Amino acid sequence: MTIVEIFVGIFEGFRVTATVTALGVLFAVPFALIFGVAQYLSKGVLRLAVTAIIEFWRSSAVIILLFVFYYVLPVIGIQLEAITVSAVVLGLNTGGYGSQAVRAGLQALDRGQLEAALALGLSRRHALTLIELPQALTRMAPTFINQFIQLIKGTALVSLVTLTDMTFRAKEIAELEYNPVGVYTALLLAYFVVCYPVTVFGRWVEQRIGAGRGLTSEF
Amino acid sequence: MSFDLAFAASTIPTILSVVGTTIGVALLSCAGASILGFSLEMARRAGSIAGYAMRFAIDFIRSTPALAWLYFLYFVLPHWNVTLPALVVGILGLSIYFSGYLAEVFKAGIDAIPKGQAEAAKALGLHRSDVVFFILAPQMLRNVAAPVGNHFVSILKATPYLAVIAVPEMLGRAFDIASDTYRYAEPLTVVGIVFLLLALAIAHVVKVLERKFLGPTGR
Amino acid sequence: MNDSGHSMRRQAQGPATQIGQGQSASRHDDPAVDATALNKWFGGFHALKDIDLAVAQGSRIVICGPSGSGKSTLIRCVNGLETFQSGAIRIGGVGLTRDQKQLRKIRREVGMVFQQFNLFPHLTVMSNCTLALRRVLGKSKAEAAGIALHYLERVRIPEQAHKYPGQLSGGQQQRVAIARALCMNPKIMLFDEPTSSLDPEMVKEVLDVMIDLAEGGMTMLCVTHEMGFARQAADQMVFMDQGRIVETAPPDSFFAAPSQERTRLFLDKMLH
Repeated sequence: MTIVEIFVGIFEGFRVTATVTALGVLFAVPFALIFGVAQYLSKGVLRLAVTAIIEFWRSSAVIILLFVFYYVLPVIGIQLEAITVSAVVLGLNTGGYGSQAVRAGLQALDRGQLEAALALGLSRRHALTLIELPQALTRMAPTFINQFIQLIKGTALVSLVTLTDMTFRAKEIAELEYNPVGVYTALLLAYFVVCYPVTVFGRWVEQRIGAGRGLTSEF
Repeated sequence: MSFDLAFAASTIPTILSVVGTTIGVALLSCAGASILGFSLEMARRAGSIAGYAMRFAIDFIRSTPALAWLYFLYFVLPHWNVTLPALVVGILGLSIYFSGYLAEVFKAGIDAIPKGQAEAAKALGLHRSDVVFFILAPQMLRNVAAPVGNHFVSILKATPYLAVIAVPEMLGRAFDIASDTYRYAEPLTVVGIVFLLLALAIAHVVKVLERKFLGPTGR
Repeated sequence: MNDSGHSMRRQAQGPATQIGQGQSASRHDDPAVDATALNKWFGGFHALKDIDLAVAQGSRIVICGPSGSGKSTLIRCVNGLETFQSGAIRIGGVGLTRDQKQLRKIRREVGMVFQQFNLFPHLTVMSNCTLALRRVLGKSKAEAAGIALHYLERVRIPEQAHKYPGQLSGGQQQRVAIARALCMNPKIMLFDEPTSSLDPEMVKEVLDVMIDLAEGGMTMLCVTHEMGFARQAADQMVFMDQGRIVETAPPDSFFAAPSQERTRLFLDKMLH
């Protein structure tokens, strides 16, 4: 096989990569928003509980979480398709990181914004949704894009639970043809081709929102 | 089949017997990634062409999953007649993957040093090497300590990837037990809990060290 | 105040006659700093235009002017922190080049105090002062500590020697910065807006130290907005605008009757 053919063969797995990514986002975004806001607003025992849940999903090793859910769920009677399990695990792990970005974005806001909103008579809920979140989320946009890239890369793990993503396809092809240099270079290139444009987009967004605050720029 | 707690407990010693490998791999990979990342950043600052090449190299690494790097090295190196033990390949792979992130950390750490520091040092007549050694390096190290600590936790959570290239670490052990006993749920859950606890503990230690290390300068 | 026996403009003889044999000997009647036909560009921006300035030894020059006039750029050229494209600068008769070794030698003779203090935050006050003494002048730890303590006493904060800069107030930090520069026993002290970053109540303590220094005979080149200090301590005022030296005069005539319209406008703004 020529390297082009190998590359195309690997890219046949892109549908699965993209599907898992998209489903993962479906879990990540609500989790990040709900738990990020919850951590920002809550106090005491409730906050501890929220933090515990976030930390569970964020601090666990994704690969292990994936295997645990894949093998343990059936044992306790929950039958889910591999793709669902993958999306949930990857999505909530990403959501865990995302919630920290949401919280940090909210906390970084000038306190005066909230005070002005409340002084105008806005309810706490409206202050949050109309004033605080829009600003926090815009400011954290580069971080979210970065986490999205992490998610895409994370989908490589689903190849280990029988899903036919790009990594799985690469291993398949490697078994048919002895050409490790070609196959695995093509694999690296395949992910590069998918992720790099997002990186470039992220840089553009970063520039648009006038970043350069704080110690690290995302890109 | 249901979850057997007693069996789960019995797997603990076997799995923990290789926790040293896990931590060792993480430490060595962190060191490798730091050295490589620092070199990449220095090369990027060196000149315009080298700068662009390094910028591209960093972007390339950050656009590809760790798993792909592990597969690449594991299958390609023997093809090029470079025989290394799987453990070394694993450390190399993680070092390369995380060097992309640490290069950014070093960049930010150096950029955060106020320009006036080098100027004041030069104004005193200090030799360039003294400026770097006594004034710039200590401040850079202070700036990167926390981010490197955080990435260390990420590296730790990536060590299970080495199971796919047959390195005797905790996930690999769990699968060994599973393939012998046909029970996957228990050993995998044990590994999951061990990793979660390890990640949380080390993250906590990093935070404590951060406070101690950066505290006394009054910053 | 001092007489104006030392002229401000470059003398007709020119610098060549002052040197005599070779570049290495600097004679005691050489100007401490002598800039001739100095021009500097930042890319396309002409920051310094045909600057001629001779600073006699023992004199105190205050440079003032609106922001962007090039005053900081000028004194940063004196110790090589900025390079210049044409013209020349001589420090004690020795011409400034881009040679790093020569620059380091010159920097031992020229002390600089920055607007942002630029103390080394990871070193104690004592270490800030002794670092260059030990690494550049090769002094022993004990000797360096002795010198440092002497100058810390001179700026009136010897008791802070073992603190870190972050634990000191702005005024204290700037005084440490002055002591640090003095430890090298420089022949000239450059001040780049030393009090501009300070809270008003701390400005006086730094200016007092600077006046003390002036009265001790140190050659000083100061960029500052503190006109009260200038009136008290300066021999000559230099007004710069848009990269040029517009006017120079002793403080009395400078403040009472500036000869240039631009100077007048600037002083009106500053003093009201």
